[in-house]
Amino acid sequence: MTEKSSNTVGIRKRERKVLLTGLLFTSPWIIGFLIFQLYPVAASFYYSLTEYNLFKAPEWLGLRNYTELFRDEKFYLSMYNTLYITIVGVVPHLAYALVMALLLNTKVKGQSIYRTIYFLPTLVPAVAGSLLWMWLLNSQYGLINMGLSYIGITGPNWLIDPDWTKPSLVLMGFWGTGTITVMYLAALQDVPKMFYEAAEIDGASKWRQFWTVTFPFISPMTLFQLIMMLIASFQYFTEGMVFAEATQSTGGPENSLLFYSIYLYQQAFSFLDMGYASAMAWMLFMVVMFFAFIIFKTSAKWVYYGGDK
Amino acid sequence: MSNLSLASESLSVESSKKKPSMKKRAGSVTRHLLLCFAGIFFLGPFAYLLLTSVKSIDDIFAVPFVWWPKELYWTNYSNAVNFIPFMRYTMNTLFVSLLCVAGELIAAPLTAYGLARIPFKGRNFLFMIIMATIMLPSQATMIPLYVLFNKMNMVNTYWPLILPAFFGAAYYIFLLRQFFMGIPQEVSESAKIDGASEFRIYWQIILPLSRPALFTVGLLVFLNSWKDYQLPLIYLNDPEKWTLSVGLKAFIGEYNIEWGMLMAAAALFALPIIILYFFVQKVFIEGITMTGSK
Amino acid sequence: MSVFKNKAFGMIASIVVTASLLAGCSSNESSTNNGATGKSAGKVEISFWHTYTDADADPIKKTVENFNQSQDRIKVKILGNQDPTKQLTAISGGAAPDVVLTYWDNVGPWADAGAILDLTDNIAKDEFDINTIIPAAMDRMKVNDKYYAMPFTMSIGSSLMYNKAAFKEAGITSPPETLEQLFDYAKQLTKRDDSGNISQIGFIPDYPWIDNVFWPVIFGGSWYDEATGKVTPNAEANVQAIAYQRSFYEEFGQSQIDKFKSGMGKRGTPQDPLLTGQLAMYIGWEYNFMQERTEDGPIGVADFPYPEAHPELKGSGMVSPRAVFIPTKAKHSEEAWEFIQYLMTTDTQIQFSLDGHVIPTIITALDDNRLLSEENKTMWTFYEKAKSENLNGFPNSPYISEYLQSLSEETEKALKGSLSPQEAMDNVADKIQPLVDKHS
Repeated sequence: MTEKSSNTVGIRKRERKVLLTGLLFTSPWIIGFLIFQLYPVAASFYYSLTEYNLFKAPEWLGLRNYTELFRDEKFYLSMYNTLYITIVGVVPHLAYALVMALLLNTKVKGQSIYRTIYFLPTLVPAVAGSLLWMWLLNSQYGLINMGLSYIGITGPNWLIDPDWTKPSLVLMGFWGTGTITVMYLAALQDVPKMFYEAAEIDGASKWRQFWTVTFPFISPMTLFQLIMMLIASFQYFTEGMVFAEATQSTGGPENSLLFYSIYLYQQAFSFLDMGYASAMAWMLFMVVMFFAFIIFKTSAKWVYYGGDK
Repeated sequence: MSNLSLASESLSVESSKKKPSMKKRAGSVTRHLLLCFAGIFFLGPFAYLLLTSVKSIDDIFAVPFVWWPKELYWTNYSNAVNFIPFMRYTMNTLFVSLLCVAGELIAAPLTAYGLARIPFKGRNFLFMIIMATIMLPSQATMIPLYVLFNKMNMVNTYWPLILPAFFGAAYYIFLLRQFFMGIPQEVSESAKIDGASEFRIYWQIILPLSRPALFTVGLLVFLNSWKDYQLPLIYLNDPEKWTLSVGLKAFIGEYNIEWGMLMAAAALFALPIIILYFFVQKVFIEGITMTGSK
Repeated sequence: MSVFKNKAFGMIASIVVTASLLAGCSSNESSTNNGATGKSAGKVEISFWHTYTDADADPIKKTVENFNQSQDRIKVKILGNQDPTKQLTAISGGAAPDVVLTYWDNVGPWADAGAILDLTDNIAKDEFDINTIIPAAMDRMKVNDKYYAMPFTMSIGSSLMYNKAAFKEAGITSPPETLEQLFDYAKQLTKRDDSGNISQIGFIPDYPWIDNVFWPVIFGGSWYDEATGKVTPNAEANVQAIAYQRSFYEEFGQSQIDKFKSGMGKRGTPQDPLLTGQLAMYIGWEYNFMQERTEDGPIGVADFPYPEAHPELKGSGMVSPRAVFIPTKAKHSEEAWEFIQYLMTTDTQIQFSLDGHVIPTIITALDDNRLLSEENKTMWTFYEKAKSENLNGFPNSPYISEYLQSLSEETEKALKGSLSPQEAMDNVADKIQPLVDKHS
């Protein structure tokens, strides 16, 4: 205490040193940002305030692109589709990947093989994957509906019925969870085994052990996945394009696959309205920021960092 | 480095466990069953890819579905490899992917360490900015970025694909930050008292401890850059410079798709990553024992 | 610890080596940067981007090679697999090639935005006679009353392709002449199984996709009235075209068709529904069933039927050309124009059409004996169809993408019955007219 109050200059010096070290460590990203990102980001923000067709000089519009958004029914539709896939998709995919990682983290025979198998679907290129989906989801001969008919359910017309196109995508999304599983596996290595020992001695059930030991230790990873999946889901693009291509239209049946990024892309590259598309991008940015902010704020309650004091 | 001894201790405890009880054995059986079921589910797409790659066009689209081809068309593979400069594209892709891995493994851990373990003023703000940059959809920044690379005379070179990796991508920075924040402070505290510099702590203590995380990042970077289609397509003009994912398009004609060859090429496309993954995933198990034995 | 250290140093060393390798190889490359345009050995090198992937690129490669050998001032460097997104990014981003081959409907918006060179001066200067070109194709190159591109090749949708065996089985001896007959035949050719599900269908008007241009063309519809400056998607003929398509859904049942459709084999494979007979009739383009539409093949080709009340519309069809243009920012627009003129000569057109089995856009080429080779026989009927006076297409314009998109969306609603054809097309007019007003 006495040291502190007597030498504020020293503290400041130390603070400055810490700041310098911090900036030094983070300088790769900061430099990269200044070189590669600052201009594109600033440009897109400027475009969002203009009418810009990619060739002629942008014309100042102020906030008109933004106010226009609220009058665009496809803005709402594409946002709805995107929210749908986010809300229905993210948490189940995350939970599924976690369960798989927990299973794979136990000592079982052929563990390496299993781990490899779970990773395989993410390696199938989209062109090959889409062919498989078409076959699986074929309402008459598809494997899924055949399976459903065994238990007496008439399966839906997955690819054609606009009510079922998005659930089809969520279903297919489970195959892409391999990378999340891999990251969870890495995180699970950081859980000190001694805690399980202690819990076992206390007679805690496996379920309890999971919540009191495993979950806290992998909570930083869960936070990461939640945020990243949220961002990715709001930018949902490729799978929607591939799927819609199969139905020979940009937005799929009744625009049920017109996701926000796809509509944005259409505005920019097909309608050449880069100003409007940029406004869409910044609107999405604000929405994602909002959700991410909420998750980060609540994370203090459920994320535990081993490095915290 | 108390936690290291903890880890090895717990490992030895686990290995000296007594015979499993009936209940435990039942548990392991259900676990096996679950893994098997899920395994089949996950194996499906790839098995389908492999099976399709040796089918004739008649069998690929047969309705109802033909599981096992009447005749194995291995020629799909030789045809595919000869139809496009497969070796060349593979080497190009490997070159780009490995450099991306190298770049990301240099830049991302550094930045992540700064964010996770150096309590400098404004680091939360910086973290927020880093996160914010990936919340803007890439379609909006694609053309200004192209303008930038064009001004730097880098269009039609590999630089636009590789260079950004050497400055760290937000995704991997965030991932590593989460790992680094999970490492107890005591690990670096004693070294600090000994007067070790921050970089020494990073290099000699934190990095070795984070092997599973670093391997994960390396794997993911490799995978993403191997599969990337958009960037190589946009930035590479000369066909000799193309990567595999762009090359795969050669099988897709406007009115006619060479399905057999496409599937064979897709299977070959995935092969290097499978091999890489098989070895990397072992690190997840070995990671702790190795650092623990130091 | 020391082991790790050495490893780490090893890693860094190897990175430095590879990085310097990279620097080395790309410094060579930067000198031949950006589509490698420039003068070399007295020749002007121009870059030419096209959309074909390697699977279809041989004919265009051969054409370029022929051009390069035909003269010694210009060397064309060809690059395939350049989809419109990349074309647009490069042109906007300042690395435009000199000549671009793309889909005709990109020309409208790109030209209006200022990305494409207006060809008016070039046409006048070289006395290039655009009247030698099939009007329906050349019209698609016109934006705001100026020509911005040349139709290098074109596709025509003016045929009915049908499964011969299915016709025979149903006792139908010749393809339908009128749309009314088409509807009757479709009923005759449709079968249901014991539980009432469709097991074979005569015709699906929106298979394989919603045809927002083809159908109005068949009915003699229009999209824009020059005199009033109004869009006319809701003109009587256009609405009739939608109503006609809708009648199939009313006849066979929406869910029945949907269900059957999803079980059909994949198009363009041996399981194509028209080949298997699942589907008896189909809107045909010259690139469909090239192998199967021979005299003794399984697929027959006929003129697409016309409305009984309008025999003057016989031989109607939709034209979809492929456009070749010069970007405004091209470095060698003179040489580019010379190359384009070469592409539009009768000889080149004939050679390319033979190699690629496509339709030339030069009128005189259609009668040239060289095209009438035995090997090219399945194309003959399409060369005849290309002479029809009733070929038409969608007007090119700055707002063409929005217009076509809106037509598809509203047609879909009308086909599903959630809107009447008139309501749906009125919606299109309401949506697109403001865009027209903005651009005029």
